[in-house]
Amino acid sequence: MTQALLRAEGLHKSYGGLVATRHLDLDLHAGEIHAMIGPNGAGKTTAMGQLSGELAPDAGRIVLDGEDVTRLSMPARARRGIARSYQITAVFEEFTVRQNVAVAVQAMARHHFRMVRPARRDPELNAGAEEALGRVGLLHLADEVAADLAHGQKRQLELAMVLATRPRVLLLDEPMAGMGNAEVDAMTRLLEELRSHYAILLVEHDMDVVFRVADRTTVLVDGAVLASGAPEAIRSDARVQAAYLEESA
Amino acid sequence: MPETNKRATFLTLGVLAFLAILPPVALALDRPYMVTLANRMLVYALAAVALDLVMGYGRMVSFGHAAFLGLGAYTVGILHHHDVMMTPFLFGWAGSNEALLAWPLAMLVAAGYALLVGAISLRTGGVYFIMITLAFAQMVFFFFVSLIAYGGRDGLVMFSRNSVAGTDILGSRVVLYYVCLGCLVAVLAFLVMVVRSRFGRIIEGCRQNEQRMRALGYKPFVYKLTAFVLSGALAGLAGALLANHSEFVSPDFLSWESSGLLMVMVLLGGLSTLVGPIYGALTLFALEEVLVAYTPHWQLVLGPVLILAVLFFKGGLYGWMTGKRTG
Repeated sequence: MTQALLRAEGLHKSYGGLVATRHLDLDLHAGEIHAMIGPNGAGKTTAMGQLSGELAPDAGRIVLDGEDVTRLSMPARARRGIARSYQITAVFEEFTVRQNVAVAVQAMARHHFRMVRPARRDPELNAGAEEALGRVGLLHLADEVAADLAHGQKRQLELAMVLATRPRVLLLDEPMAGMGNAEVDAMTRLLEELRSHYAILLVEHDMDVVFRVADRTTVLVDGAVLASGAPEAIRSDARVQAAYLEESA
Repeated sequence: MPETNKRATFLTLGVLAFLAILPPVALALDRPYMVTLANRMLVYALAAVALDLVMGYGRMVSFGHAAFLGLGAYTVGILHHHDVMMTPFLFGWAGSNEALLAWPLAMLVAAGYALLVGAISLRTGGVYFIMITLAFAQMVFFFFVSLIAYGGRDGLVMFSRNSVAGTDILGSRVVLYYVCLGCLVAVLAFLVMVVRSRFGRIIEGCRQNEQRMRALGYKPFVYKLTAFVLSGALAGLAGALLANHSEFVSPDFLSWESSGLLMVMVLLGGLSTLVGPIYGALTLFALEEVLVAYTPHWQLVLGPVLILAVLFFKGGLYGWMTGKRTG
């Protein structure tokens, strides 16, 4: 396989006596979905926070396409192509669906200090927003206020915002949390479509989804990698079964 | 965000028309003091509209906006003082009584102070932000109280209003009134444009979810600071107008009561509406005028009225009158 697009080397983070991330090595290639699974409290979200730049690791480094980004802030990493979605839905509730995505488009379009033309009728922002909304199948709700959306639709909207920043790396933290079966199915198919265009790190609890879409799976337990490899190998790994699969079953 | 709503537009134009015809009507009715009162209202309305940019759109609850007003007023007052006394002000410069110079300078001074205060206080949020902006404003208040050279506690009298391009047209109270009204309308139009722009959308995004904005690649601090400085500069302009209106500058302009009054205007009129604070200022000044005729303790009545208004008109007077819910 080619050189990894995003690579974490020896990430370590502790909160007092609690080690949240333990010498974690992880790599992510363009065109693959890399699933990160593990029991609650295994440190998945903490690891993601360090990759996105919200949290600073105590030790280790993070390399994006050959560039060391360990010391870069989250906005700086976002502008270099690392986009993340949140486990707890984070959309702009007062904006319409279109405005939500337009803000994401604008993040990469610049001209932030333009105070003259109304953003609502900005063709550059609206075209980009509508394209991203079309990809997640939410275009028909473009004029709805985000607060009025159903939970599953908000998750779709979040994905549209992530895509609208034209990222290279997607860090998706449980994109299907709280979704119904039909929505999970739609989102799963969407992830499969997105696979070839991005490097995707997917934290997910739904094992059916993980085994369906993931090219590789890493199992995290107590902040450390317990096992990593093809989903089939993970499924049959005795340690993984002992540590995680049975517990959650 | 102020949207095109026929009823809202109609109401706003109605209020502006009322303000436009007020001086001739007041003079015809032989009540010139009405012009003075309304002029004072215009100046405070301008500062309140500027406050709404940060308080309403960015949820930066500044409890120190009177400091911008006061700094603007003192800039005009001090430059006038040196000009009249023919004493050197800075580097041998003897000050100026020219509005075209003093007013932009007033805005610049207020903007500079806003940059300093914002750079420090915007690192906090919520209650801390409220307290830090208040603390800075109190510092400026006591600074001018102790500045004996410029009147200290007693303030500084202006012997005339500013000249405009060398003429003394502001000597007419009615001309000054229309200049203030013009400034208010211009600032309102400018800020409506700003909040609808790309920049305005970033400010609103930061209000709703700063963390999400960071994840999208924005640095909220930069935009919030810009809005804060813009708001401060415009409040500084209001201060320059206030100095001309009062022909006097005083530390009272900077008092925390004055900051509170501006916040009340915004809340009463309608947060995040820009037009609302004008309604708020109008209502507050009218209430004061009416109540003061009955009792010197008019604030005793004003208090409950405000509490009820804030409790029951969620979108302020503006939201109530236009049937819109904002803020």
